[in-house]
Amino acid sequence: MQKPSGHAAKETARAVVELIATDAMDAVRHVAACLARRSHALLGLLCLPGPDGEGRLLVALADDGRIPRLLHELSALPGVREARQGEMELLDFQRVVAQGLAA
Amino acid sequence: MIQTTGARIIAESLVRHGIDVVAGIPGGANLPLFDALAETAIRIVLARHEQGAGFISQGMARVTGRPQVCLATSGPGAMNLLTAIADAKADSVPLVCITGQVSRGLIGTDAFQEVDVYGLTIPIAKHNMLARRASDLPRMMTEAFRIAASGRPGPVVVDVPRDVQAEAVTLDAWPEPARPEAQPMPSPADLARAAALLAGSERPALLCGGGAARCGAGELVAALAEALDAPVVTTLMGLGIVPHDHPRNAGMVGMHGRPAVNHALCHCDLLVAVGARFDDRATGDAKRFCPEAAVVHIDIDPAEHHKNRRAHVALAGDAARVLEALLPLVPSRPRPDWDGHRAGLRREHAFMPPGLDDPKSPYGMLVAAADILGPEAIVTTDVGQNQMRAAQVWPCRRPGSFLTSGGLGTMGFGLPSAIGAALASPGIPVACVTGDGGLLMNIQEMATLAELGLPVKILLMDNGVLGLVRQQQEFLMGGRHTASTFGARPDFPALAKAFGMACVDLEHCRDARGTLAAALTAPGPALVRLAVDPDAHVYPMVPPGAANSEMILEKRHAKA
Repeated sequence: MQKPSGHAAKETARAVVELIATDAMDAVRHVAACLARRSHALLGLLCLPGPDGEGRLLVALADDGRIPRLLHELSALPGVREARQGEMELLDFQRVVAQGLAA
Repeated sequence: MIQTTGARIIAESLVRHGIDVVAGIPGGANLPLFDALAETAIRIVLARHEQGAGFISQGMARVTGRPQVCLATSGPGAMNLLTAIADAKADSVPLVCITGQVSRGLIGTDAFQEVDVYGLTIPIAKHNMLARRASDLPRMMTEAFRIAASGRPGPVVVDVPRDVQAEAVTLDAWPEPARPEAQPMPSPADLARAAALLAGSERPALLCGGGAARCGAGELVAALAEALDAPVVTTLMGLGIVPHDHPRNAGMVGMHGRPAVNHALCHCDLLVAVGARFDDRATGDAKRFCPEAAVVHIDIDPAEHHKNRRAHVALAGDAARVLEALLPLVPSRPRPDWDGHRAGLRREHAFMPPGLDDPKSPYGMLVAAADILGPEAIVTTDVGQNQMRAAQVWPCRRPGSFLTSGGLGTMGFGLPSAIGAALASPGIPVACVTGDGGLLMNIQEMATLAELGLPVKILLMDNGVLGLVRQQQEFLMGGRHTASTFGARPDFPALAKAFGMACVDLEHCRDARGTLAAALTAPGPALVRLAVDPDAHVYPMVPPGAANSEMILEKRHAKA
């Protein structure tokens, strides 16, 4: 887990972004690179590929007020079909990760 | 059924996408591809360095507006290409970059000439792909061209292992060549909101960048400016969106922009940004850029909206189409107070570069060369003082005729991109404005130029220093010129001769204009050397972090 940094005023807020990807495994690197390039504090990234490669990515990150712009950028990545701010709270995200690890 | 190989699929894809020239260098990992290309009518331009190949392709792409192709082998070949890829991303240039990779069984073994091209290019390319099977290549190549050209253009990297190139495969049919995707338009409600802001403004201004220039929105920009009685201000990448002598063209904004423009934008109450991304070189201190203005931001890339400047209305779409939809909604009316205010600023902050009438001065040589080469000429620049001087005085008449590395600011861009521009526009003269620092960064491409015999005229401003670095050291580092002066200076006329090119040195000419004209009108390439005072600075200059109105001016203009 990366410690949130920068944009300190709002760094306590958290958000979970949900992505639908045509090739989930391929999208992981592009999404991670995009977050790094735009200096977003990444808290967690969960990749849930389907049998045909399509799948979901769940991205937990600090909400510093730039999420709407980030969604535009992520949804424009080739291989990402949809990007939206998830309803999920960070605790739920961690629960999904834990379930995934247990399985 | 089509019996073929991975390499032949790539070659055939290039043909089907209208590629007739590629630039690159062969090596162990892309030999099958070069072999397959030799079976087609595609012309292979053998560059002397992969970065040169990348910029040659960029020159072609910037002139044609269509994706162009460069080739490199694995390892060092791909590494050398990286700068040109990043540069294309920064300036939204459509490229398809095909790199050879070690065979699949060797990937991950630190094999000879193996690097992770896919990983290296993720942050600097629009998209990248690693071919794992020859049968994937028809789809991947089509995707590569589609992605490179669609929406905001950019470079796409296709990394192809050597054994995938050699793999035999049977295809049912070739896929249809890629077409750029249609772009969505803003909603009528957003267009109406933008129109209302425009209609209510008293001091509007248009700021046009590379996105406006690329889509040919010039006439629409001029029409909107006419309706609003507003000036058209350009970024470095927007030069030529409207002709330099168009009455609405106010000039370039930013670090080395026109003083009157930098002042005028401080007072505008509405800014229509068209295909401009509020780059720090254009805005200076972003918080103090157009501080009183509401912003309507038109950009094909929604990710640019609100990135560097919060927009009151953000309109996503092709700038020309958005302007076409917006124009009928905007009432036309004169704004005499605003017009008068700007006229006063132009008088008070007149921009008069020194030596315009002297072909043996940097500005004078540029003006004379532009005049001799004529209105159809294309100019490429390097990066630094030569670039800023050209941006200030070269008479840009149309988009795609002033090629410069705006976003990444890559020294070494000028010469190879000029070769590409000349390849893409036969019969059109091409000038490469450069300095000794920039020229030496890709000097090896003089061999490529001499071999091709293209009408590229290198206008070299030779001052023996990294001029813009020295200038910043002068103003910002207490005059300490650390590591910005070259201890040894090449004999450029002798160097040109060694490469097999004509050369004139204006330093020793009595009739500089006549000598320049003879060099520029002769067939084939030529190098024109002008000795330049290393302490001749480019004014104005906005110090990094300052507001655009806080310009450093030449002493004789210090009041401005």
